[in-house]
Formats: sequence, C-alpha cells, structure tokens
Amino acid sequence: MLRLFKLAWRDIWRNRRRSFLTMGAILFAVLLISVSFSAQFGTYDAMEQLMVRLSSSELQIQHRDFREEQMLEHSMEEASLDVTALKAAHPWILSATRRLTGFGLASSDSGSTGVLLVGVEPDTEPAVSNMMQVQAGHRVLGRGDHGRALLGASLAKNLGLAVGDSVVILTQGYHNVMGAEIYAVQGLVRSGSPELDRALMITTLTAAQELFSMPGRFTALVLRTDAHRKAKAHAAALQASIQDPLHVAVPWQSLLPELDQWRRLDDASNYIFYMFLLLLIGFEIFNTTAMSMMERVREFGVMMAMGLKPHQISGLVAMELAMKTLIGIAAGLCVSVVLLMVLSQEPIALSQDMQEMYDDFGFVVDGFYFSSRPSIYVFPVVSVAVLAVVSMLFPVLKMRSFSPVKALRAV
Amino acid sequence: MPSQALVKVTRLVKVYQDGSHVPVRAIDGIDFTVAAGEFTAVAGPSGSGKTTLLNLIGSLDTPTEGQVIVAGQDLGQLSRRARADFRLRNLGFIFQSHNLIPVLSAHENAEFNLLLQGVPALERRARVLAEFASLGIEEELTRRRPAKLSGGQQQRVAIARALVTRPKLILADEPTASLDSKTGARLLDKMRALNQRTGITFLFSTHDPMVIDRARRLVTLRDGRIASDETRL
Repeated sequence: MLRLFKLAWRDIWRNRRRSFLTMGAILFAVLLISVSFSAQFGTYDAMEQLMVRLSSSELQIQHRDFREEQMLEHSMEEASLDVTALKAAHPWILSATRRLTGFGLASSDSGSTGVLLVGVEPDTEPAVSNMMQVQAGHRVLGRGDHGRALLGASLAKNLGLAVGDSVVILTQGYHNVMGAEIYAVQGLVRSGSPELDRALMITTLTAAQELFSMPGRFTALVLRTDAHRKAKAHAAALQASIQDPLHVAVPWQSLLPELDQWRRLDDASNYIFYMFLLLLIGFEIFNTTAMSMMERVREFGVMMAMGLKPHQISGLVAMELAMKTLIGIAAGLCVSVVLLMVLSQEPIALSQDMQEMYDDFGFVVDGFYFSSRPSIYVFPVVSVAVLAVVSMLFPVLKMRSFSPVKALRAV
Repeated sequence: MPSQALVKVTRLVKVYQDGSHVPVRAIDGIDFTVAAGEFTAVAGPSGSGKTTLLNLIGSLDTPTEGQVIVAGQDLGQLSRRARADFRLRNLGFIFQSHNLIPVLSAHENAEFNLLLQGVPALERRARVLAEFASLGIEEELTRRRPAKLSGGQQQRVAIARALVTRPKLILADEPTASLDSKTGARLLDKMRALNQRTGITFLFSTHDPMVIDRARRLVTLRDGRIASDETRL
C-alpha cells in the first residue's frame, strides 16, 4: 500500500504540466465557488440584517389573521401580552416594543397620497429598529410628541412638505370609525428603502390609537433578538409559550417574504452556474485522468504480468486522482481563505447601476459584502470531491477489466 | 539438471479474431512439456505463435481450448485474481523492451515483486543488492531511474527484477531484441550461468541466433504448431 502510494505520488509528477492543469482547474473551481458563496452569503446577510433592522425586526407577535388581512379588527389588546414574562422566559429577546400599523390618506396643499401610518412607542422603538432614524438636524419623536409625526423623505417631497409644516391625515379606523387629524412634521426619515420612504408616516402609539379609535390596542409586538438567522427557531419557541390562541409568533422570513423568495431565486440561478462550472471541471479531470491512463497502458500490463491485481491498478489510478484532488482543494482553500479574509474586512461599494437594480427590487443594500464563515467552503469542497470521484469512475472501472496481454501490446 | 515437468501444455489452441473478423489460430493444438531447470528457446518466424504460447504459459492470456499446467497448477481453474497471485509467486517475466516502471529507481524496480510478496525491507534490500552484484550492476546505478540507465543496464535491472523472487519459471519474450549484440550476448551468458547455478527454468521466445545458439533445447513453431523440438547437449 505504501509503495503504491509512493508510486502514485511519483506518477503525479511524471507529467507536471498536466497535473498542474488538473490541480489548477480544481483550485480555480474551489476559489470561484467559495468567493461566489462568500459574496452571496455576505450580501444576503447584510441585506437581511438591514431590512430586518429597518422595519420588521426579527420577530413579531401578531393577531393570527393580521398577515392575511391587515385590518385593524385583527389587532390585540395591550393587556393580552405580558412582555416582561416573555422576556424572562426567553433570554434571547433583547428588547420589545408595540406598534399600531394602519393606512390613511395624507394631504397637504400640494396634494394627497396614501400612507402607511405606524404608531410607535418612542422610548422603546429605537432599541428594536432603525425606523425612526431622522435626517441630520431633525428631531426624533419623544413620548410627549402627541400631534407630531415623522415622514419618509420621498413622501414629504411628493406632498411638498418640510419640517414644521402640517399634514392632514384621514383614516378609516377601528370598526370603520372615520378618523382625521393634523400633525406637525417634526422630521424626515430616509430609511434606504425607496418604497418605504414614499409611504411612511410615523407618530406615537397613543396618537395612532386615538386616530384609529382603538385605545389600548396595537397590531404587533415587535421583538429584537440576539440572532436574525435563528428567527424561525425562536418563533417556534415563542409560539409554545404564548397563551392566547389568537396570537402568533411570526419570523422575519414570513414578514418579508419577498426577501426570502428573492434569495431562493438568486440561489437557484447561482447553482445553475455552479453546475456548468463543475461540468467543465469534471470534463477536464476526466480528460487528464484518461490521458494519463492511456499513456501507461503498457506499463500497467507489465505490472499485471508481475502480479499486481486489477483492483490494485485501479487503486493506483484512484490514488493519483485523489492526491491531485486533495492538493487542488487544499490550494484552493488556502487561496480562498486568505482572499476572503481580506475581502470580508471592508464591503465593496456598489456601483450606481447595481444600487438602482437593488432599489428596483425594493431591497436595501449599501455595499457588496463578503462572508468568511466556514460553511461557505462546504459546498465547493464537497462538490469538487464528488466530481473527482465521478470523473475517476470510468478510468478506474476500465482498469478492472484490463487484459494484461492487450496492455502489453499497447505502444 | 532437468527432471519432472514444470510446464505441461495439452492440445492447446488459441484463436484470435483479427480486424476483419476472420478467426486466426495463433496456437493450433500444441502438446508440449518443459522440465524444471531447462533453458529452452521457442523460435520461429513472426506470427508463428511464440509470444502467444509464452503468454498462455505465463497465465497472461487464456486458451480457447486445451490445458496449461504450470508447477502443478491448472491455469484454467484460476480466477483473474488467482492468476495474478500465481504469477507473483511462481513466474518471472523479461520483456523485449525493458519495461521498467519509469518513476521508480533501479533498486525500487527490482524489489517491486518482493514488496508485493510482503518480504521485509531488510531482506528485500539484501536480495536486490545480491542480485545486482551477480548481474554486475554497480551500486551507483541503484538509485537511478530507468531513463538514466543504458539499454543494457535497464535489461539487467529487468532480469534482476525477474530473478529476485526466485521464481520457478522465467518467461523471456525476445529479451535481446533491443540490445546490441555484445550486450545481448553478455546478458544471455549471465542468464545461462544463473540457470546452471540456481536451477531456475528459462523459457525464451526468440528469433535471435544468439539465444538459439545458447539454448539447450530448441522448439520451433510454424503456423501455431510445433515444427521441430530438438534437445542439445
């Protein structure tokens, strides 16, 4: 076995150029797929975190029908949820806040437009999301800012409003009670999501409850947790501890389904690309293995005449390819790890076109991020290793049916 | 001196399909025995069946009809793996063009069969060096790879490789064909001396007069049949 190993090792270096070609192809495949995975995961993670932090947060507790029909009748009573008890039972809940979300028509001297009106608790909302981040020089909402509102920058522009101006809001409230109010614009928010900025209007929870005629009620308890990737598991754990059957724990993947769907779609198109790449590399491995085998048919014939068994010859060829694959993968990993360690330090700024493309999809991305988490290397390493095994099947099986006489006749 | 039959071939037939699918009877009903310790040459023109006969005796090929018994073993009863094992334990091969493994040194080539047999390292080294010494292979050549050896040196290493396991039978297919006459003659003399000294049986396939002259028995084939079988003193 040791001698066969030694023989296989020396055979690799018999035709250096060809071996380097095979190992280079493997290195390239591992590097390219690792970098692609890193960019994918890095950007997904950053985008998810930005989107989650911007609006939904990781988890929400809602009325079970609210997601299907965003009606105010599908709201919850303040007394029905004990936030302190939930936080005590689930230490991964870092902070919580209530929101009341409804729709209305905002009007100014310049015109009218539909708005998404969100009533927030000014004391606790900043610990859960970045929704209330106002532009420089503007003042954030405080608990006593009744009758004041923050507007999305694009919404304010469309309505021709600036800080200090008044905006009239007309709503159909709880049990179809009409609501109307005038708010002073206290500040403008630029979330980074153009869609949100065109429709968002934020006021205090108590002001919203008054406007919608639903004191003591809210539509979501928004929770910030310690890990956005664990949201589904956290939602399941939370659901088990919620007493009221009308309440459901919803993870951000369900709150922002378009983000999850976009990721799946992007994943699928990337996997098609990887398959093509792996197919090319597979042909290269197969080709070089078959060539190196055909060149040595007579030599294999001599070995068989000496008493080497067919499975030992197959083992020799398999060992050679395994070594080349391992060297290629190891080299690919080394280059990838170093490169991605550097790239993951700083995101690459997006070009204007790319930024617009993401904006068109309604996603918030402020750069091209690279992930350096170890799981990104699993697919490239496993897929290339499987590919090498598949590529060696034909030559190795062919060896097993080799006739020593025919082999000795080979030129 | 030659005694009981080491090789016994009975009604041996080997039929090949050539490129035009016409069956060719390379060996056409041969009966033939080789006693232990013989130094025998099988001669004949090209296509007479010399190499085919050696391949069948060496269990590298299987007969279409008939039986080959070597060292008491009916080769037709063995599986592919068992035949490989039989070759390893009982036979040595010397080919026309040296056929050393190019990535191994002269020493590693010569000890390859011993390694496959599971002989310990120290014993392997001692046996290879003894064989090299008897064949006049200088120590400085032992670490060289085949490409750094002359044709004669390569063939001597190939002979050492065949001899080192002390096989019962050495099959040599045109062993001098790629050597100049002086080198070829010197090697043949060494092989004959080894035959006399160790009693190992040699069976050559050849049309080289040097081999024919030195053989103590000459079997001539023509069209796959034995045309003559002559024993010399």
